Amino acid sequence: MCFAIAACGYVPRCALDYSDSGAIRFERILDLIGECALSIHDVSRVELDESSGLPRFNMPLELGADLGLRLRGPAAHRSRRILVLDAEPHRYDVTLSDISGMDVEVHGGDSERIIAAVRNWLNAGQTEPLPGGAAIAADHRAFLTLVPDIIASLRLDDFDALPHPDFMYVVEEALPMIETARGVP
Amino acid sequence: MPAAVATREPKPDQPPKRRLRYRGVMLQSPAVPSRTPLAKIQKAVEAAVAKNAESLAGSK
Repeated sequence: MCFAIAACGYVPRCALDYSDSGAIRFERILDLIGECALSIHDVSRVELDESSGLPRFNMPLELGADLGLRLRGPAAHRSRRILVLDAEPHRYDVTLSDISGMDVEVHGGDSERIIAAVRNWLNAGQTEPLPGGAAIAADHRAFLTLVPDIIASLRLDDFDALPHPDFMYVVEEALPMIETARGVP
Repeated sequence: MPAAVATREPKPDQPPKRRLRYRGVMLQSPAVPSRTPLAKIQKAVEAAVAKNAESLAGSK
């Protein structure tokens, strides 16, 4: 998702950008939401906690905070745009029925459908069309082939060891080089 | 994790940053500083692209 956002010329913001454990995570997230005019919530990430077997409700909580800002927050936030993603069609009708009627894009857990959904949503209202979802997805596949060598060069242990801000700098550097190296429109 | 996105303008007192283009889109640098030196990141990406140039060329 962050790859697609960056490829469309936007800056993804998330709590992973900050490592200061002193800040309450939810407050940090609220600050980030307030600083941005656009936001994306993937409510499919309500996975079960491995130890307790209970679902994690962080994503619906954050979506609720975002909707509250748009509906009852300062006037400047009334026009904020929100994209909701889920893995399965109409699952949210059962699990999150209060948002029934909202546009929810379904991705089936497929990264290429996530890329297309994000690109198409960001493309709305653009004067110049953004790169197509298929092109970004192909560049993302190419990027994934580079990741092991990039990680090795940076002397990190694995993909997850790359801090999120550093990952975004890698993406920013890699996108133009991949476009040139692939040599396709 | 919400992936909230926003356009961002550089502050007037900051030096102009190198702007990269991708498929006609002007890319924006991440909102927070990297922990790894940028020169090291750039070198790592360049090396990876060079190493995989053959497989990248015309890849679908």
